[in-house]
Amino acid sequence: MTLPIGRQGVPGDVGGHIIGHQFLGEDSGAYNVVPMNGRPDPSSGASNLNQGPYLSLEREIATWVSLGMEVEVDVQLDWRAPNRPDHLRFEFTVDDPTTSRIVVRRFGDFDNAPGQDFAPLTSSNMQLRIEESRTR
Amino acid sequence: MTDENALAARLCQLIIKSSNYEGTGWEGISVICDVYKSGSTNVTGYYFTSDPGADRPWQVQTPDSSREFLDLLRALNAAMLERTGARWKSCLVQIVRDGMSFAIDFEYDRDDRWDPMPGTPARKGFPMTINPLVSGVADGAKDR
Repeated sequence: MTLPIGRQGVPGDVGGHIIGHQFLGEDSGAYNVVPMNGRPDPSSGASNLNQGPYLSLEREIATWVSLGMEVEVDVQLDWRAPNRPDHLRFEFTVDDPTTSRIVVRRFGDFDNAPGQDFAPLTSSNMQLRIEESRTR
Repeated sequence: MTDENALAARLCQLIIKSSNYEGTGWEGISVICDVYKSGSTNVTGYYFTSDPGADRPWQVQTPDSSREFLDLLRALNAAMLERTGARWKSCLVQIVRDGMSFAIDFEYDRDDRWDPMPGTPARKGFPMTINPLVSGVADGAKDR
C-alpha cells in the first residue's frame, strides 16, 4: 500500500506512515499513509525525513511506551498540494500512570523534505526523566 | 515596536492564551524553544506556582501547539540572524502572571543549556532554576 501512495508525491518520496505501523499494525489503512520524503539531500547527503528524524520520533514514542508510560500523539499535516503534505507538525504527551503527572510534553515540526532535525531522548535519559518526575 | 519585539510579544500572547495552562493556577511559565538550522523546531515547557497546597511548585506543560507559534519562532530566529549575523539555537521564554512581565533569553552555542541530562548535577532541581517566580524576569527580550 505504501508504494503507490509514495508515487503520488514527488520523486524521492515513499509512502510514509503518519502514525508508525508498530503502533497501529501494518494494516492501519491508506488514511495513515502519505507521500513522505524518502531520499537524502543529493548535495549535502542530509538524511531523508522518513528514515531520519521521523523514524527517530517514532522510536522515542515506542520507547516511552515500552517503559510503561502512556503516550498521546497528534500529527497535523499541512497541504499545499492535494496529494502531498508539505509540512508535518507533531505533538506528544508522555503521562506516568503511576503519578498521573506529565513526564514530557513536546511539539515541533518538519518540512516534508530531507535535512530535518529531531533530537530523540535515549532510553536511559527517559528512565531518568521518569524518576525525576516522581520526585516532588 | 520593532519586528523582533512584535514577534516576541505575539509569542508571549499565544503562551498566555494557551488552553493548556487554563485552570492550572499558573503564576509563572517557562517555555524552551529550539530552532534548528534546518528550520525544524522543538518546544517544551513548565508552569510554576507558589501555592503551598499544590502537588509541587512546578509541572511539565507546553503552550498549545500551533503552526503560528512555530512560524513565529522561525521568524524571530531569522530576524535576529539578519540583524546580528548569529543564529540562536534555543530560547527560554519566561512569563510572570503578576504584572504580566516577560523575558526571553537566547542561547547561541550550547544544545543542553535548558535541557541538561537527567542524573547530572546540572539537572538537579533543574525546573526550579528556570522558575521565573524565583529568578524574576525583566520586561522585554534579553539579547546578546
